[in-house]
Amino acid sequence: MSDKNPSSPAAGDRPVSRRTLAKGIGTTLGLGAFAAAVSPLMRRTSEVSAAEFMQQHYKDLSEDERAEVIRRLEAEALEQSGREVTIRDQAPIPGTKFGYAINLSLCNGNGKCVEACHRENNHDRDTNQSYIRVLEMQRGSMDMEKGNTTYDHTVPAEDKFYLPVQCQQCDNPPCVDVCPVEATWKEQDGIVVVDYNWCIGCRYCEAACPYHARRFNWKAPNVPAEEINPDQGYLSNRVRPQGVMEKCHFCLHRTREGKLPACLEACPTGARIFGNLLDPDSDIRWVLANKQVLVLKEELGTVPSFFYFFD
Amino acid sequence: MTEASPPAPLPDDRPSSHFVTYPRFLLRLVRLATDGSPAYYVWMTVLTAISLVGANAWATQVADGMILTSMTDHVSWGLYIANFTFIVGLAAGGVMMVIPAYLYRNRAMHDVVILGELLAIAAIVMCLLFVTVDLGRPDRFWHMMPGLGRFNWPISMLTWDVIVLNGYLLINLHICGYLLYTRFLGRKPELRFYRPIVFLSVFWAVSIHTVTAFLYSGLGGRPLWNSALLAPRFLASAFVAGPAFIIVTMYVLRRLTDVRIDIKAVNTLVQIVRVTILINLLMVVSELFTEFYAGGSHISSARYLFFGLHGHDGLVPWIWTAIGLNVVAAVMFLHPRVMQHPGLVSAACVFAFVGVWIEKGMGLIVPGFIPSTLHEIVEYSPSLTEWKVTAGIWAFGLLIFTAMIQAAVPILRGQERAA
Amino acid sequence: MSERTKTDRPGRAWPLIATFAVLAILLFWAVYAVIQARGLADVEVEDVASAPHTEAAVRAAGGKLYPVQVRRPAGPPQVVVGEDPVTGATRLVSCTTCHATRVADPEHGRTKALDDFHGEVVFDHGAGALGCNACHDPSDYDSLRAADGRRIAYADVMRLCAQCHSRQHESYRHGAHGGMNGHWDLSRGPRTRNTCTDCHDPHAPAFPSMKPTFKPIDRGLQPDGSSDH
Repeated sequence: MSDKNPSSPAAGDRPVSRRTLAKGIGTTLGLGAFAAAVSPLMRRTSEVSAAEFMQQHYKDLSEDERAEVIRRLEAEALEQSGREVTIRDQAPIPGTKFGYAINLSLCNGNGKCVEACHRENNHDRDTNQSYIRVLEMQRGSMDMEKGNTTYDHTVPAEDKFYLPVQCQQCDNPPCVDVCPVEATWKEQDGIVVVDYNWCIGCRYCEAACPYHARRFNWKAPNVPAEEINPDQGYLSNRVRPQGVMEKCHFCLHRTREGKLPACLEACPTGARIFGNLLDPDSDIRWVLANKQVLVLKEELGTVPSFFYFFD
Repeated sequence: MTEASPPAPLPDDRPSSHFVTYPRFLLRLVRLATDGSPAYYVWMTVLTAISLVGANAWATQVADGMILTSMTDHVSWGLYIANFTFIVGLAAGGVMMVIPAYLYRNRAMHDVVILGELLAIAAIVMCLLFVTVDLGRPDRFWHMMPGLGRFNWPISMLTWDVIVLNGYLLINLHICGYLLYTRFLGRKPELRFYRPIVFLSVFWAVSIHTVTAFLYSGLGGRPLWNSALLAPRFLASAFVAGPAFIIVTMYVLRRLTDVRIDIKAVNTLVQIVRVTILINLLMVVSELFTEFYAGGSHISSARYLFFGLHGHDGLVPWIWTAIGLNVVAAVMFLHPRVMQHPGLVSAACVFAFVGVWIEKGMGLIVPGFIPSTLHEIVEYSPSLTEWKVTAGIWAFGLLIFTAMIQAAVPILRGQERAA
Repeated sequence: MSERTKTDRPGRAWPLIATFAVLAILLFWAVYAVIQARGLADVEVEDVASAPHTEAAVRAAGGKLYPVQVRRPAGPPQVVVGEDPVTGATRLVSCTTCHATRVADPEHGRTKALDDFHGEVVFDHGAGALGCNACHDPSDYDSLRAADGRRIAYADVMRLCAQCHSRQHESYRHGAHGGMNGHWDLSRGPRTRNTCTDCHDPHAPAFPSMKPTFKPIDRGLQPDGSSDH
């Protein structure tokens, strides 16, 4: 055991001070190098305003604060794209729970729904992003392993059927359970929504979803100004920021005003049926009562509000 | 790192206030960590340089988007989360020194147990960094802070992970800090201030890796992960990788520094790895048997991983490398003569370490996404950005691990005392 | 494991047991909390009748809903009989122009055999069991005819189709066939619906093949549709 104490002033002033000087230079250089290394962050900070950084969770905003946030988002949209857009914050209609069904005997896999979703919801043009994927499936099997989304031949092909998959708006949504910051939740009308201004982009929900329904903004979406759909909703189709999650919201900016979703209107085969599950006289209830419907991956217990049937 | 002798009490009994001595202690730590031989400076400079490369790659990724990674909507977690998973295990592995040292009063281990605790600190810091670089919006980190944001606890397993990882960091900081501080003051550490915490840390170490396994095994839509065996497997492999890393560290310290390490401590760890590496292999075999004997679509991921699927076989070389390394390491650990050569022991440790790294990362996290939940096959191999960020975090972890050892050793030996 | 020292005493296990007990209590409490929270996450179902301003509520109250408008063909079709030799315009004539004098051959089920008119019509409906007069009224070619002989106007073509395709018609009436545009909620706006011939060529009613024009361009997803998976 040594009693040597290098910090005592008597233990040689010069080496310590020279060393201290070297350390000081080293620290300065290191800090400078670190500042230079992380300088690309400055580009990002110019894009994220202080108001956006400080913004509270959607559910914690008062009416006035929401209006203020929406005003800001509209102003930012105008500034960034030069396009005048209207962002609204439609509330769920009381007494409504949405259900969706697809007639797989009619669907021929033409993909018009995929494209309609792409245009309606201001998706990234570079990746043909859409909330819908259509699988070409082997007739006589529900095994997705035998499916394929990249088919580009004339449809319908011999011995195939077509399975469009989008968010199933589960009643027991695994994506909502796993979110660490409650950035995604299930609304009164059954729609699972995302607060794009609250999501931290951890992508746990994307890992948890059994239906490949979630999409991540790996970069800021590219939508030419003239193609932007200016009729937007805060929780739905406003142009998403970079680095956050998004998903099918049953076109809530349309459906909460009584309109049909864009994918349904675009379907040339009439395979899509949408409506209010709480209305016993609705089309969707008739389908559930009269067709042999099934849900995808029922064994996982996700309880989808999205149904399929053959007829 | 043997103690020189029981620390003598301070010559003067002046009750100096902790408000004075504790900052002095912290300053001393900083000074000790920044003092060293030329080789030390070279080593630290290299690590700093690599860390800076990583920091730059990350900053660019934040600015331009995660498009710079190779991750996709199909494979939405990659190298970052793979490393995170592995390093949580590394942090938990340190407990394999704590148990013999404190529960079984293994004297040799008691002298070096701080290595395991310091490793835990460095590893947890790396874990937190790996999670942070995986975030699409790190600027919204505060949304996760209880009180400030909205913390989806107890539903989200990720919130559990945040709690247990930070808790483990605090526990180990407390243990190391307390022991070093009392030694710095020249006092004998009081059992009641650290023994309960040490016992807590044993459970906590198990919890951090269990919770991390639950992150994955709780997802019904991912059959490769949705297995009750995942948490035990994680623990077994952690108790291979952690001790393996510490064994190599002890050999390096013996060789390159004047730190004296009792070979008995190494032997204890070797015996632990002997058992855990076999348990880990057994569980891997059980998992594979269950998957492949029953068959069906649920094993697509396993089939992709081990044999390739529909002509896609990007991970096949990885997993067979991992299996090979683990088997060779197991044979080496089991052979008594091999274990008498430090070089061979180190080699076996490196094999086991790399084997587990692949098995848990590229061999578990990535194939969980292939094929996707709609059975599409999109392969993944990390981009340059991801490699740079990963190397940066590893370098930073090694940097703080080295610095902590550099500061802790002289204090533990009683060479550095409050003036 | 390695050597145990003699100080090893069993009485020292209490901190372990205490820690374990505390952790166990915490864990049970957490599991309980999870179960509780999951129960609350279920969507609360509201009383439809008392809910304001939905189709169901308005209907229940006997209120007025927006209409569902079914598209209809404009009227009887016209047949191209060539170009006007002077103006070059297409000459269209109504069915009765010819059929007032020309008697159709009721045995004909094949348009190919017709050499003056209608030879270009691809006829693939009813698997060979149907002839022209299964649908066209031989006594008035500007209208259609039901199986029981009753006249059906072209604009009401759905009634004609429905006599055989009752299942499709039933589905149609419940929105499960034929598609729609506009509003799902008729208390908020109208709805437009197609008629049968908007999508189906009555002479060859099978829905036409299509070419998908919009495919995802996912990173890493190989656009090779020929692979066996």
